Amino acid sequence: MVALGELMQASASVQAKREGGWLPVLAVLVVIVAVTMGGYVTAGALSKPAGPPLVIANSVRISPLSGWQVGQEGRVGDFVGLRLTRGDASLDVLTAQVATSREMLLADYVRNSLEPQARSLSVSQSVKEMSVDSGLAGLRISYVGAFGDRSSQGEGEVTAVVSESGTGVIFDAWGPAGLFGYSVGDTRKMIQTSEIM
Amino acid sequence: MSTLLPAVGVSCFGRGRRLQLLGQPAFWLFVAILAAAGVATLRQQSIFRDISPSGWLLAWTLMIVYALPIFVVVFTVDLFERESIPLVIAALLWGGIAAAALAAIANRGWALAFARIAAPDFASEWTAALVAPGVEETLKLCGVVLIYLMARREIRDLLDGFVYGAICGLGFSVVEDVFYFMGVFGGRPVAVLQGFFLRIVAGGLYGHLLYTGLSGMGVAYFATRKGKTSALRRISVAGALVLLGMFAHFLWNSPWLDLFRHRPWSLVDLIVVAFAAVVEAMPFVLFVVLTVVLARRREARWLGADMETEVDGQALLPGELEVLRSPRLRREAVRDMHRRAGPRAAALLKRLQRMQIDLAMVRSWAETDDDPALMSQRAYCRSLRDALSAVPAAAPASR
Repeated sequence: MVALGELMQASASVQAKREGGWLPVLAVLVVIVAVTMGGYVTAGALSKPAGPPLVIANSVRISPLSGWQVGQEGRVGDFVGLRLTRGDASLDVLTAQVATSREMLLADYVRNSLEPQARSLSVSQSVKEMSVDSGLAGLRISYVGAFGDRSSQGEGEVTAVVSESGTGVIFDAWGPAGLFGYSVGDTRKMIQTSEIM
Repeated sequence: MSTLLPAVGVSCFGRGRRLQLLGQPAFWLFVAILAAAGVATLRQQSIFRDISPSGWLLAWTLMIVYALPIFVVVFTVDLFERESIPLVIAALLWGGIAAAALAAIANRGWALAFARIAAPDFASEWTAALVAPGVEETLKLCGVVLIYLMARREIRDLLDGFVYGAICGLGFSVVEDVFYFMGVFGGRPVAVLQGFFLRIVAGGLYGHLLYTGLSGMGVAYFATRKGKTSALRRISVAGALVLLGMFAHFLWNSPWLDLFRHRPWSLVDLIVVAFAAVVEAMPFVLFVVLTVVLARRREARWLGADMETEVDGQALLPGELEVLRSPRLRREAVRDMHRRAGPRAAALLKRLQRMQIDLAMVRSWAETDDDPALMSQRAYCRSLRDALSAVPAAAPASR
């Protein structure tokens, strides 16, 4: 019976080797990679400025990406600007004529503009450094909260940049909690390529 | 009792079967992806736990209580052959860890791409329906395919594919639902209970388990019909089953069946939502149940065809085949034996029946009538019968 057992194991081993092979496994790997990363590649290929750049309050030039629509102009506290929208997501581009520093600008926007609109608000503890393509440095925070009469939570991120001439620009990108992530790539790209005058 | 134990290496199939996984490239790809995805999953769960420890614990408790009986039902759906436990666990882990983590990344990417080509309002409303089914079903399906590539002999019929697919879907569903309870419903215990009611109590039957069960049957059809039907038919049927799973997923995600649009809900709303979800789910659930029943009948016929040549070969006596084909008759025979000859004889008969079913499985893949595995399985059945015959009053081993 021992010999029979050895024969069985050898047979199984041969069978296993015959069954193995890298080709079908590589095919599965290619499918997994294509499905997992293909969306980003496709989105990147399709991502391009739609139409001419918009100039907001003579302070910032921004190029909306395809799929984004120009919404209404408006005022939030001391800030004036324009809203870009895509579905449920929005990017508010707001300017303040006098800004002492990025830190002050960011704190001022959160305290005087964001908080008054929110029934509840939680702002990230960490403040991230970022910079736009033109070289200006900015600060970024993220937040979640309940705004207006909406029953669901919203989330977003605020970026503050101050130009050399002292013009402050706030980019407030936001959307429904859980769905904002689908748009954050776009909003960051539009901010990144914007021009602060 | 030692004479009743199978010899070393004999039971390459059945309860003592060995899986030759380490030499399989598919195994290493499976492990690598599972390990990478495992890190992401742990990180995500850690965030959820921080949001609300009690809500997180409640979410997992509810999901485990929900998943365990379903796991048992799916695992035992194949009456004639229990699937390999390590592979079933592998399917569960792939669904819950690898497919869920990869889908979280992939869904976001394809949603971005979809938003580029669709109008904003349309993209907002239809992204979940048009992106998630293709992404999630494909990633879960890859797990079933990898399991097949690791152990081809373990998928021999449609039911095998259904079991591995459904278990993979179950794992995915558990992790996804915990994500919804914590990330969408809010994570507090009350919100978790609300989410559990809406996603599981109201719509739990109609979910990933069934979509991937169908896809798994597609993989099994393609794999097991080689040489029996044309390549075109294999691809068509397998493709149709996979697409059907995706279509069902699409329907569930579509705004047409969006029952959760306006919050907060009143008690009446919750009851209506639950009722509507069950009614809407019923056609697909019935379809899958019908498919599984037909597959089981087909398996029973196949069992009979394979085993007829074994009748009178001492491993299987005349009359036993009929009993073997019916779970009800098998149970009755064991009960009858228990009455006549006691618990030891009943246990022996039960084991004999299991080994006879394993004999049918070995017979299905053995290339020759004197295949060593086939011969040893026959010998084992005979030894069980001899032991049974030695028990006083056990003489008629079957009806």
